[in-house]
Amino acid sequence: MSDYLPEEVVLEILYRLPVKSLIRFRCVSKSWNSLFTSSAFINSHLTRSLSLPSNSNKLIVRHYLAHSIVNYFKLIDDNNDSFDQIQNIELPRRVQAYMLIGSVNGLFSLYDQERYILWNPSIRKFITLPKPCSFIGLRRHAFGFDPRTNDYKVVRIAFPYQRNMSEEAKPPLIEVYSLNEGIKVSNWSCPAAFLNGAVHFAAEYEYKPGGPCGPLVLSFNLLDEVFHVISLPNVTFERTNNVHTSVIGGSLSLLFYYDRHAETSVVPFG
Amino acid sequence: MKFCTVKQYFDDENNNNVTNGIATTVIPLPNKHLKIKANNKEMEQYEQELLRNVMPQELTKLILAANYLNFKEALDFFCRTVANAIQNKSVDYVRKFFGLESDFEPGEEEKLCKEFAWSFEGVDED
Repeated sequence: MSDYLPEEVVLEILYRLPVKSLIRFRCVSKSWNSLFTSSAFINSHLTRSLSLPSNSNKLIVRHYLAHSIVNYFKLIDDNNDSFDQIQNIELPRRVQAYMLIGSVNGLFSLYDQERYILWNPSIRKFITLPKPCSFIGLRRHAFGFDPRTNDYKVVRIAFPYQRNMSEEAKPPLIEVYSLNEGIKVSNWSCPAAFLNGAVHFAAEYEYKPGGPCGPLVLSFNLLDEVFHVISLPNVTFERTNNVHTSVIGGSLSLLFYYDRHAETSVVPFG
Repeated sequence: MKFCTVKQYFDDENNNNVTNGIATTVIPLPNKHLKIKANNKEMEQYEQELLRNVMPQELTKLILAANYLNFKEALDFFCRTVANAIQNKSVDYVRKFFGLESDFEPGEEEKLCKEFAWSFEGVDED
């Protein structure tokens, strides 16, 4: 063939190929193999895919047979009134009984008791997340994508089971798994204080992007499941990563732990 | 307004990037596009028809023409057509199409093919 296509045009063609073809074409040459596995190419391909009209308005449908623990997930086109099945989402055999936490950018987060996985059906690979703390009780999950850090996160809020009314209510445990960091985000694994039907945990915010941080209290109302921010009194605090919320004397408090001493600040609440 | 380069091409007689045959295919596209812009189904049918009459290798010439003329819609259309034409083709076909050669160490390619055997299902015969 006499005319070869310029590189930028070849890229334009490659961005329009489905993932299955790209996986196969990794075998074309070494340079294509490294190109298709580079995060720059993957991000561009994803951005293009997400902007295609044929890829918008897709629904994930789960169906299961009564008396069976196996889940079937399908991708259907919401634009089409007839609910024609577009695609079966294949799960690896051993996770077919897992429950879906959520899906973002074609990634699926699934769990079963204490095992959590992230599954990418387009490339048919999955990773097992490290085990969170073991407990008995109710749990809530979320799976999301943070575009600022290009990071995927799985959040678990665990509500330990209270055996009887006289037992002190145990605070819920919030755990976050970050795909980039590979570990639980530290602040969130501190137990959160529980007061007046809401969970309160210490967080930080940057006054200006990239600038100094200040503590704040994030409050999650368990009844209406809404987050609120509680503003703190105008006192300056010496910086530390070890900040906990607690209930002291019936009031919500923030405890700041430093190496040599513990300083506490009491925030009056309601 | 889309064709500032076209006048330049016609003035430049030594141009061998775009042949007459191709000019007749690329140039009517904007009018066709405007007429059926709103209707995706119709555009798909037009694309299918175009694909029937043109071999994939010919498409690379069309792409070069559209690229040279800086005609974004035609470029997008042709790239999509090529992508659709090659998505189910074999590794060898794609190598020939883009003029590439395998530069893997012996055994490396087999290892990759084995790891992703599922991606080779349903591939067209060469």
